[in-house]
Amino acid sequence: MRPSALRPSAAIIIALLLAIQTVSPAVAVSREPGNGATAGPARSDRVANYEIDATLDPSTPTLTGREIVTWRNATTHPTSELRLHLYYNAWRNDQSSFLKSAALSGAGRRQFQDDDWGYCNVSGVSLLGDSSSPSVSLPTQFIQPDDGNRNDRTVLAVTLPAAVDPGAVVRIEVRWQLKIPRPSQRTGAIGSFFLLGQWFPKLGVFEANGTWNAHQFIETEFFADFGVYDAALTVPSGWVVGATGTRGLSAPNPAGGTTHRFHADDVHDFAWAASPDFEVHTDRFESPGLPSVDLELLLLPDHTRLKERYFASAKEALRLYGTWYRPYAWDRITLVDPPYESNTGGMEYPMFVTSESRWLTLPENRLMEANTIHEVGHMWFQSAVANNEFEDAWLDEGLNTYAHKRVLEQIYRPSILEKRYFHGFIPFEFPDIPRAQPQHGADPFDGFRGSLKLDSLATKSYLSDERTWYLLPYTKGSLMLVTLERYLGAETMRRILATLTERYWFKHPRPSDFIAITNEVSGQDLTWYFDQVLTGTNLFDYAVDRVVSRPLRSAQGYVPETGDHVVHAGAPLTGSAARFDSLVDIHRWGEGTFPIEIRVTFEDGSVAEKRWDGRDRRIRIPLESASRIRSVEVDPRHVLVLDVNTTNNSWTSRPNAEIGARKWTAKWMIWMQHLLESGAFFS
Amino acid sequence: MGHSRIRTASALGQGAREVARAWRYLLGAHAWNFALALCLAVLVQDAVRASLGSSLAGDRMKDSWDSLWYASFSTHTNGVVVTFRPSVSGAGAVLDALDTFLDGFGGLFNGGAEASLWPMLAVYWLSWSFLSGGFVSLFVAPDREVGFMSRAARLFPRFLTISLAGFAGYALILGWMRRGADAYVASRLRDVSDERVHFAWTLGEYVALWTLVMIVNVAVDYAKVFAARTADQPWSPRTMLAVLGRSSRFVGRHVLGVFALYLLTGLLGLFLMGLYLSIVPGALDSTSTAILGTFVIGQAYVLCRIAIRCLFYAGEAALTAPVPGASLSISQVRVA
Repeated sequence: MRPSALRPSAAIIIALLLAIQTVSPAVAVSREPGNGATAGPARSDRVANYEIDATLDPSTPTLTGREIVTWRNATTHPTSELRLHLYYNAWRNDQSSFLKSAALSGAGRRQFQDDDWGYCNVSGVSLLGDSSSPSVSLPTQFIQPDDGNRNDRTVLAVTLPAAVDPGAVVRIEVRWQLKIPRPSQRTGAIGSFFLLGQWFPKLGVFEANGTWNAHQFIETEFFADFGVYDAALTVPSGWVVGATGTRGLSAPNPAGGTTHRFHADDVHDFAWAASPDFEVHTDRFESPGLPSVDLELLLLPDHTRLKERYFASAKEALRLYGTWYRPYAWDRITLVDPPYESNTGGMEYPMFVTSESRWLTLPENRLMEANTIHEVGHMWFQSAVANNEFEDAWLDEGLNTYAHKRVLEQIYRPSILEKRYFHGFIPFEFPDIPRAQPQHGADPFDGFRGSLKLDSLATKSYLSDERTWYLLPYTKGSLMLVTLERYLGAETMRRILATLTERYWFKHPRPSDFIAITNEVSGQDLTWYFDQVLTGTNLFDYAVDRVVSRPLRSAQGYVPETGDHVVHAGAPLTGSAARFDSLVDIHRWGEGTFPIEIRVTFEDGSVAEKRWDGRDRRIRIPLESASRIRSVEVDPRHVLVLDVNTTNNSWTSRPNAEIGARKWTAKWMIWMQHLLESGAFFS
Repeated sequence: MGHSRIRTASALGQGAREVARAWRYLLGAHAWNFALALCLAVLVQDAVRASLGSSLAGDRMKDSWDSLWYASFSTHTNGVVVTFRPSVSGAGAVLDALDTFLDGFGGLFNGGAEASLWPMLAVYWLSWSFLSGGFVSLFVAPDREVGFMSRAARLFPRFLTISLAGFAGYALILGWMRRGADAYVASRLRDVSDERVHFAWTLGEYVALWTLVMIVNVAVDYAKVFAARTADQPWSPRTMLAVLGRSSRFVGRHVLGVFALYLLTGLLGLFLMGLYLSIVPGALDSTSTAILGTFVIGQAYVLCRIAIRCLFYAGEAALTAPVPGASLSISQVRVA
């Protein structure tokens, strides 16, 4: 199908901005959006601005699109090239860098069906002109800046006829067609559900150093400049569409279907979802001291009963992130409830998120809430504070995982174990059994087997080992921040993130910016910490190594009080003189060093605490006390959640290992007996 | 040959009396189940105890569950200890095993955690091919002055071959047919986004496959009963086929009675499972008495499961009891 024609207002804009381009002054882009909405005052630098017309044909399924990109060179370097991301070419064939990487890591599909493939075919790129200088078709070529794989077509270089000087504006028109694959990397189509993310040819970022930051699509997330987006999306009539931005007019399209218009200011991406099955629900977030936010929920029929839970969790995220860090940046947000096994859940785009839920969801299961809060949280850490996810994914994923867990802890009861039976359809809760959350500790990575050592957190995300894409940015990133919070205090940590959002609202922070703010706000130089945890791969493991506690005896040998006669056997001191001579050895098994607290509890209930800088391999703590040692704990407040083995952090004189093991083995044994009995059915 | 027109309820009642009379052997079968599980439990207990050591994690495991300890522990486990997980607690022990069962022990063959258990499961399967001979013989001919083990030993070759034939049927259904059914369902659901539809199709697939499994199960069980009734006569692969044929014909002619017996014992099993799930403590049993109490309740339920299987055998024996004065020979069960 053809894209719908450009609106008259767009033609005026083309002429105006071409004039701007020819004189090359540094001006902020300000234009009349096509849907009748007016672009608000600029809060970002609005470097890359898009007017998009797209028509979806679900039957094929394909999308035909046309976009006008207005780009301003915000650097001090000229450039005669533009670079466009064509993400859908990651699924063009199995020679793409994305699918080759997936195959090598074992994560790829074994068999592809025809609808698994997708592509983005650019049929033309033109430099827009006016009556005096007509449009010029621009030469293009695929480039592979990251791995040199000539078969990868996810980055398109566009050669301009002349350099764009600093401050100058250039406008290009791109025509393209998508073949929409089954969902992969949270974009695509399944049945009549379409989630379109990274779907349009999108400019990379021309950085201050005069180079393009436009990585191939391999195992990364995204990075783009802020701008103003106008989109006219044509879908079959009767379909529901939700998208980034504010909903504009919807009207029948003469060429067929209905065109839905959306407008968004100061966003760096645009995503949308469409389906005839969506139920549309709306609500409004209102909280004292915070601006109101309109919520739109696109809900699938099998999740209708979760409507209130969706809204409640989104509102809690808006309230707490807004209170702790900074009010939500826009005035609306769209929540999309993705279908079962669609591989489209848990993704954030500005003003638009997808969550994840199940048909049968127990009251204490917080999967949907956790996903919703996390993705809404990304409106702060990624959509507004827009770090480069190609390179520093931890900066938003780590911060946001840390922050969303804080929200969960604040609102909900601690998570309990849930197991799903019968192919995962039937959930069952174990109310007595707490479930470990990633931020609780690094114990799942015990054993020095390397998962935390595969890469450092500072490794550029697009270069990192595919086995660590989740582990490092999300898990280690949040563990690093929880440790920091417990070391510096929750309020200091809140101020660090609030300062980050204040200074980098609609900007692009780097890790060094976060470190500088942490040092500044905390009043400490924490380089020693970040060197180990961020740029280094040190593992932390402090342990109680040895505890000796015995009655103090009178002296043996040549004892002065006896006239230097040899005393052969010292006697235990008794009565009020009874004392105990104790020794506690704490060992540092890991390479990582961290100041820790050691707590010794005696039989009489008294407690001795000691702080250790944690630098030496071992510390020996001699103690003399009125009673024996009952227990020793290293890091009793569990500040260092990066410790990979918290079990060895404690010692007790009255261990319950035997009864604990017996109790749980008895349970395991009953399971085993039932398993045997089930097996006997087949005899 | 004529069979008595005994009603299913009467067969069940008669079976219950036979099972009650065989209580010693029932306890013996339970002890065997217990002993096998105990052999592996010792390994698990040693591993857990060693890992907990002198730490305070032992206190937490005594009182409830220490998820951080387990996170660390599970990175070091191998062999049978891999199957140790918190979901074995309380109702989970039954539900986990039931899920594995309904899944046709797929994990055993797909590299799942249970893969390390297959030798023990094979031993138990084999031992029930033996024990079922003793029980069925006892229910078919309770008056003979022959010991339980002698009965079992005498019927073992017959029961083993019948069990193997049944196992081949189960493998065909839950292996080959299951793969085909999975692929078919997946293709039908490829573009379906409603989880309820996925659930309904999966349920339908299970019902279809397990109906076939039940048919094989019934045929195999009744074949054992007929094999026990002709224990005095020679046994060969040909007669085994004859017995299976006879069993199938019997099931075909008495569908309602056979189905009713299956349903009643099944419902009894479900009732007992429901009862157990409603009373079994979770993870908070922290005193020796409470731990022992939980364990005893668990053992009682395992014993009940064994008793129900025996009740089913006994009910089948009663249902197939010949009219007084009639006799059954291999020639009568030969395939025409």
